[in-house]
Amino acid sequence: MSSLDPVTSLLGKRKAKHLLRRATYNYTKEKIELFAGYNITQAMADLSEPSVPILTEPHDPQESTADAQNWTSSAELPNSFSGQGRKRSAVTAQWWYNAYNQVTLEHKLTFFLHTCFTTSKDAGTGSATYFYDHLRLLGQYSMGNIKELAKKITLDHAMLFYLDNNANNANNPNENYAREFLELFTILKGPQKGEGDYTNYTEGDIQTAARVFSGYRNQNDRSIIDFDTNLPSGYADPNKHDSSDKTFSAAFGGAVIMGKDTASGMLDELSDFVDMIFDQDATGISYVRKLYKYFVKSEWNSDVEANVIAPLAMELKAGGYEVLPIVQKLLSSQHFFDEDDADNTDNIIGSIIKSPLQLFTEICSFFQVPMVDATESANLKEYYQLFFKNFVHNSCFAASGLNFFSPDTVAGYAASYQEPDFDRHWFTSTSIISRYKMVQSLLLGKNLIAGWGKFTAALNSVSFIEANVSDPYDADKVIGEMAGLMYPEDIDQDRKNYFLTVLLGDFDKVYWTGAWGTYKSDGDDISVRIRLDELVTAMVNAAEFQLM
Amino acid sequence: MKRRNFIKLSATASALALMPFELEAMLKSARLTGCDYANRKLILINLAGANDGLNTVIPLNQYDLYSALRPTIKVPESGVNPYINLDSTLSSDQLVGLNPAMTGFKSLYDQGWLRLVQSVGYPSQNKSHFASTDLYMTGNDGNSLSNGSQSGWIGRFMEQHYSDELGATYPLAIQIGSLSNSLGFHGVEEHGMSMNLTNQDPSGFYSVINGLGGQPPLNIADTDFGTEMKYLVETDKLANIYAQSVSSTFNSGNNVHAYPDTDIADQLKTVARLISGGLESKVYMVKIGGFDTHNAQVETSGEAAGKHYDLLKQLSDAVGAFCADLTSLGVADDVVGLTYSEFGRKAKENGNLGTDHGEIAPMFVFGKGVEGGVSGTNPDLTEAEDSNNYQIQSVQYDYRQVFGTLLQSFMGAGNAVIDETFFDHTNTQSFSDLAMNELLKDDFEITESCQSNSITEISNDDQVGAWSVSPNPCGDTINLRCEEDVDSVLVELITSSGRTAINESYSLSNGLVLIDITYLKSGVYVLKINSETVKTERIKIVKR
Repeated sequence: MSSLDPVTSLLGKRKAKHLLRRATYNYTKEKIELFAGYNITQAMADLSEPSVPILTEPHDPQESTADAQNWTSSAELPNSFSGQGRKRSAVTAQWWYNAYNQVTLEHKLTFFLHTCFTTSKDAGTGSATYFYDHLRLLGQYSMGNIKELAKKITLDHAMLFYLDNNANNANNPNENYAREFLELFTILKGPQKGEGDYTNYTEGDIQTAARVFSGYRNQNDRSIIDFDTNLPSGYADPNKHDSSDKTFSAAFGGAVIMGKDTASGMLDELSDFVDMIFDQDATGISYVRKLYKYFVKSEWNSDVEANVIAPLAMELKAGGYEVLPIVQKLLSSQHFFDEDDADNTDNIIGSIIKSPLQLFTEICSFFQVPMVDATESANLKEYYQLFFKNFVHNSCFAASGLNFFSPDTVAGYAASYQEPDFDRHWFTSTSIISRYKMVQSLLLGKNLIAGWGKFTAALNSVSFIEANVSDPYDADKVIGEMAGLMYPEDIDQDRKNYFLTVLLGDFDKVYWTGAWGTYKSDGDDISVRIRLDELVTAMVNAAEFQLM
Repeated sequence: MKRRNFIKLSATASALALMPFELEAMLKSARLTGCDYANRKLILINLAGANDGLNTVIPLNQYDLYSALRPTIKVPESGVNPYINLDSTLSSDQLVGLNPAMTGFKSLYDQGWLRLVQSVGYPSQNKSHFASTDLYMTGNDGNSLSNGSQSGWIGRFMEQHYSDELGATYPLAIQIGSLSNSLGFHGVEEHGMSMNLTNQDPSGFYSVINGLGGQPPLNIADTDFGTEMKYLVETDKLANIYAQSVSSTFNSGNNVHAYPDTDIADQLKTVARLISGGLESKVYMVKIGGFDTHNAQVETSGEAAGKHYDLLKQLSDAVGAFCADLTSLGVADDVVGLTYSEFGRKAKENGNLGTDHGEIAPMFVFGKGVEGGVSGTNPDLTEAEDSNNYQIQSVQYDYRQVFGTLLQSFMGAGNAVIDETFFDHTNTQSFSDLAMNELLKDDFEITESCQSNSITEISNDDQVGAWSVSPNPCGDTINLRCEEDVDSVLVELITSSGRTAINESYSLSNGLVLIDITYLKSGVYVLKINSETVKTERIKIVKR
């Protein structure tokens, strides 16, 4: 029976690898060894430390004035700048730099919230500065309260633009935001019981919700600051708001939300409406199912639904929708670590295909790719433009099917929602070429996916092996230790032999020992580097490394 | 919620990868003499986001009511960019204007290559993009998921109708324009029947992908981790195999006509080139997005110009160029296409120069084999009232009637195949009884006697029931074994062109019978095993 009881002993290497991959984007030998010696309580505490961002603002190196380069602090209006698309990618570059460097649940949870309250940064969220504010809002609530976020995000500028709620008026309602708020962001659809009846809510409820949401507007100069979040927000305009009482369907027990006709009253009305949605058991269940798909596995059986998801949903709701305790409980459980039953065929470990974000960030962190120090002003062009925008954002991610923070539809990335394949959508004929070329590009410091642009962050396979393998002279140890760190499960001798032939070609292991010895004595690494580059490529592109 | 198992393709695929490309092409074209539809292709154009049907096809006999519902976004009758009168010879309840962007479609109509189908939908409308898109792809009607929730109608159709070609070196279907693989292509048994070429350079795809993923592991554990590994390994393998046929036909193919410089035109240009190069994929899906026009559907009140106009222009010009190109390339006889969208939009505008989600919408079917004209009458705008949120709702044609008619009369699928593809569970009716006879020109229709009707439960296993075949692929001898105690067996060996190569009784000794096939050519065969005491089975075999 699936168990939410926590694992009890020290984690050990296998569990440490699993937990680190599922909880963070940064994956290193150092952290694996540290976490292997933790018990689960220590591990959770370490992962739940709130982080201090390394980069607090994005930078656009392709501008000529300092004001425009650091445009989010500028006094000029957000839409007065050119290169908005480039600036939006710079915002994600800033986000990624923090996520890459910090081992904390915060970043995975921020991205999770993005998949819950989806906007597509390049498809109608307005100026880049609003997207910057939007990501900060998600970050603030990442280890916090998702019900509060549902209220705050209604006044978020990017969201107001994206789903047209800034054009939703009492006399001509626009249903777009209301529909997606119910269908995708909170309670989610149930089975279709009849004409316009989706069990959890009805078409009529969508129209009624649209009236609750009427009258909210952008404040384009960002002068209105939300008292709780300290971030710019839109405002409530009672003149455009439908102030009648709102009666909902039997799905909500016929609840009536009192209509208000003042600005602060509108916010109370919004709060009452969101409380009504979150008071439904279905909302708790929907969020826990999303958390399960995101952190654990894309499919599950009725045993898991009854013994993992249902109890966590009740706890989430009873705890007022604080997300972190639920995630901690889930990631501490015997179920999460495959320890709750003797059946070793229904693994959680290794059962999710890595997203391009996960795959790329793991390669960079694990292989100790010398990342540009983006806190140094001399490096800003290299980091933001040459490395992140041209290579990571526009090639690695985009060509692998991840339009970064900009999914094709408001439903999110196909991997999040499109059943039955879910995470399998990351690995298809359209994405595999660029997935395979990520590591090849990093080894050369050149964008092999498109454009052949160069960047300085290049993977040095020789220094990696020197620093991380106990005995680099021994080919078996090189492969064995790397596989032991890289893959969710052990590999068999046949597979090791395949990697040996990649490293050695037709030659004996003795050849390798000699070649390494020659490198150590005369310092010329060319022959070992060629062989190690091949090995790293094969081991990274292997199916075992595509999974987490 | 179970995922399908991946196609058990390994043995057959690697064997076929050794088969000369030309030999295989010969096998396919020899298949059906007389009833020759082996080369036919179906093009599905997805208008993603829900196309506003009422501003695409304007009901001229209700123009006043139309204006009252859409005072700011209506397509004007006169002045700058008025609607295009499609055909003044139509009866008054069919008289329509096309959005002025659609000059390309008007030309196709005048040429007799375009049919407009009015009020297409399905019984229980779902107004969620994602749910309705899934319904369109799984072939369901909103009342149930009885036709399948994990498989798509195209997948089911291909599994049955092209069962001989499963395991070929070319994909049965090609998808362009969307990075997410469509649910429509998932089969009940088979996965990997389609290939997605979005953002890939078809010319160089094979040379780039060839071997890029390295060698797969020899031994994969029988666990969920192992299942995911198998998915990755098979996806990589299929991509490599299909890539070769795609790149080679793309490189030997051609475009003659000029295409506009838009994404949808580019997708169709690729399709035309692959078809002209001889790629044997049967179904192509392309996509143009942006139709979710909740606001700024038009730029200025009272004028047609704006977002919706631009999209329709891209669509119409691209399809126009595509059809002209097919003619120049000499392949127009073989190709029919259609547009579809997850639903229409509300009859009443929403006050942001846009429209919200709706229900029924028109479909366009185009091609040389299509009988030009209009099916159905204008939707009744008096249906749209406050009490029903201003929707037009009456369905004149279930979307599956359009698809089903094309699958039968253009692609040659018999009634039984259509029922496996989708069935009207709400009314307990076969879509073969609801065919639209006016859709195709007479000389392009496949008659019932030519339609393929065999329903095959073809397994790719070498072991089926009590019988097993080894080795598979085999050489000059098939070793057929039976686990049960059976004395004799009637064996039929059927070629991929449907011809019976062997029809003989054999006796078994020690549960084994050797079948000599030295004289047969290499290729795919179906071995049908009939015995009095043990259930009849079919096994697909490949002769090297």
